[in-house]
Amino acid sequence: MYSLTQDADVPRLAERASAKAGVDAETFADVYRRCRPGLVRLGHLLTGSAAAAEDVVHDAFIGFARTKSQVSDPAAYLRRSVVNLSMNVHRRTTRERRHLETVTEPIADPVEVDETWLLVRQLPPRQRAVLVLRFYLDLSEAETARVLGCRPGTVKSTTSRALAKLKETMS
Amino acid sequence: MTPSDDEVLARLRAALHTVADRTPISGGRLDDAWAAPGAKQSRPVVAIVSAAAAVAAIAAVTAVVVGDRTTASRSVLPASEGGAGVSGSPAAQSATPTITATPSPVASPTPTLTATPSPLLAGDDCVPINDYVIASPSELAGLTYMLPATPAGFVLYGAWGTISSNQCANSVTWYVDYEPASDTPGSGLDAIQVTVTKVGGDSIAGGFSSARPVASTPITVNGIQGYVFDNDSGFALIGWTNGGAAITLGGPVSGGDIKSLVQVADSLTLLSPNDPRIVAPADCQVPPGNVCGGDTASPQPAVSTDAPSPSPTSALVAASSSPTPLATPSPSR
Repeated sequence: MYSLTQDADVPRLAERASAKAGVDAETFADVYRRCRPGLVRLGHLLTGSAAAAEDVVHDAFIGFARTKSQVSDPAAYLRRSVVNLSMNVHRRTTRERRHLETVTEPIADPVEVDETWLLVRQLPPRQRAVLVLRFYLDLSEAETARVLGCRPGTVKSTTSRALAKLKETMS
Repeated sequence: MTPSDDEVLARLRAALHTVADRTPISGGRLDDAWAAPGAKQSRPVVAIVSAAAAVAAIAAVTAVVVGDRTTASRSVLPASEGGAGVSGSPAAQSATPTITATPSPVASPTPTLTATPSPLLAGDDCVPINDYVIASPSELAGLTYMLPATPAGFVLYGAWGTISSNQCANSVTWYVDYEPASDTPGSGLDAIQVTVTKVGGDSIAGGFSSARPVASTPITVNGIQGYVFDNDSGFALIGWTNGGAAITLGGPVSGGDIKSLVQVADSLTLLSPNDPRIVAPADCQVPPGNVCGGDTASPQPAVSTDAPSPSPTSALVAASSSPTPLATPSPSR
């Protein structure tokens, strides 16, 4: 979520790998390549913007690189980071609303998909996150609760509330 | 015609998978992601656009202003189980219920909370916000004072981040969103977000320890020097420190004019950790159905019907005749 204009002599990947630990670098790169596509898709669903998703995932990896020695499950760590960072991005509601109003995405999908996606994007971030985690990633209520840092009961009620709102607006 | 529950679910799944499948995946920035954390060399320009990074930068500035990492002279804060884990000075033990604006430049001895030993301590590798871990009850004890009063003209929208600790020592962040009272309740549009992070010493700066918000614009908030960390004409993020906490306020601005945001920031008050009304659930600003100050505080957005003013704290402020910001910890150095 921040950008750095770094010194010109900031080492590139290979140099950093030798400066730190080659194995670490390889591991990081492997995780990056393995997890990133899925995380970008997840970020897109959560932020409503593919561009924002790229940034969010990038920031998540920066965080992971800093703490990877303490992270036992990189995929879970990164997923949780993306969810949390995405919701921070979503806070910029004015910007998002402007984006919603001005961006015209290609209408190549069935109308129903477009309409449903628009409705999903209009949900509050936490409700959207719950729906994405539950019905895109197919996480259980308990798993979703762990990602969001809340109780399973909260996931259940939030899911119910979000689906009710979707149903209401679909009718 | 209202669709059935199954139909809603089917359409939802189809939409989510279709959109996800159509997401353009770029090659990424592996080099940058890998290089950034290890780049301990000076960073001449730092443009911070997130509350998390802003908090880190505020802490970094605070740490520098306060001095070196010597902890000998720092006030050690009581953290007895079930008791207030944060307070600090005799002044903070007074009965004055609010932390009011403390007209002190950032260069003055900044009240700093001591980093108490914590299993989460990660030293320089600590990442302030990126990873949320539910705080334990003992970690949360006494932290309800971080809840700001509902700004006039706003109503509580939700506690988005719940009370979370992270991998930084002694650092807990509370996120609270408010939406304008004039908006459609629950829309969340034009919402503002306040984050209050208990600064656990300069370790919170983590990898940002060498960062300086030189690209930011200094401002004065509540009589304290703060910074504009982000301003893209439609949204701005400002931050400052007070009472040992790093505070950010983000929200919509018109044409890049941050006056309205600063005005809201000026009106914010934090609640004293020792005020019995803070400890009591009656003063809790967590949405109904959630527990104030506990690890069950739900991040679920909820619309509160609390009146924008006078808020409980506004009343406390009005009732307080003491001009002294008694809850401001004494200089720790």
